Amino acid sequence: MGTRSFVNSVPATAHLPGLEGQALKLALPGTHALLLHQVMSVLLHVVRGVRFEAQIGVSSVALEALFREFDAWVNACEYDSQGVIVIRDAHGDPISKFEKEFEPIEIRALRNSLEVALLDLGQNEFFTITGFSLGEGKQLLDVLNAALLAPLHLDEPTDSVAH
Amino acid sequence: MSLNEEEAKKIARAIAFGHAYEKHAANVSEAGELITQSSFESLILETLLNPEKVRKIEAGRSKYWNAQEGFLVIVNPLDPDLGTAYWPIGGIDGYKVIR
Repeated sequence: MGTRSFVNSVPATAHLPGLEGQALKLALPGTHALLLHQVMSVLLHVVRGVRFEAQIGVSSVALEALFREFDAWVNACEYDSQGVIVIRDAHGDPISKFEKEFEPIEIRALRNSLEVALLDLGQNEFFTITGFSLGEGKQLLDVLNAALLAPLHLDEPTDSVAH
Repeated sequence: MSLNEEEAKKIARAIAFGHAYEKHAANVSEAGELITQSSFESLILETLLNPEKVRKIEAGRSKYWNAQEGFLVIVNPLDPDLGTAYWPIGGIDGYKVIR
């Protein structure tokens, strides 16, 4: 009949180029966890027209599920008498951690979400909406990029390949 | 966090005539209809003076929720425009998740 059926979803176990690697347990400082929570909420509630599969690497439903994990953690944090989340000590250092075993595709989704939020909100709105500076966003982007490249063990000394 | 009328007017003007109008309300606004800069300012002022919900959030900011309009104002004293204002996707959920 000339009709063909297409497989329109990729099984979770399928090989995806550039997404090799085992699940990686990350212990994110509370400040980084809150920033990622805010960044995902920006994509889900502020920025219009996000193409989730293309830009983030997961569907909006999958990102919402990841967001809910962070949201549960944020809701369980300590809050002061005015209802402001307590995320830093008196010296400004993070006081709690969010630990989770992340799949590479989840780390990539977090990394892509952060990049889209940084670029879309920019100098004018990133701090006002997330409560974090662009510099803090960039620092977290570096952490996530390093985590994505962890299978390469770039932090370990290697013999020179120079001849 | 409770603002007097003078403070609220100053903040509403700064936000409405800052970056927020261009980003969230110019041309066809996120509310789906045309809104002038002065109408945007009035909406921000109304929200600051009569919010259904208001709360302090991290980094010295405050958030104000206008349930009738599905409209959120974030006041940030450290921002040259004193904050931003927009219609969150998903209504009040977009207010709740701002910490």
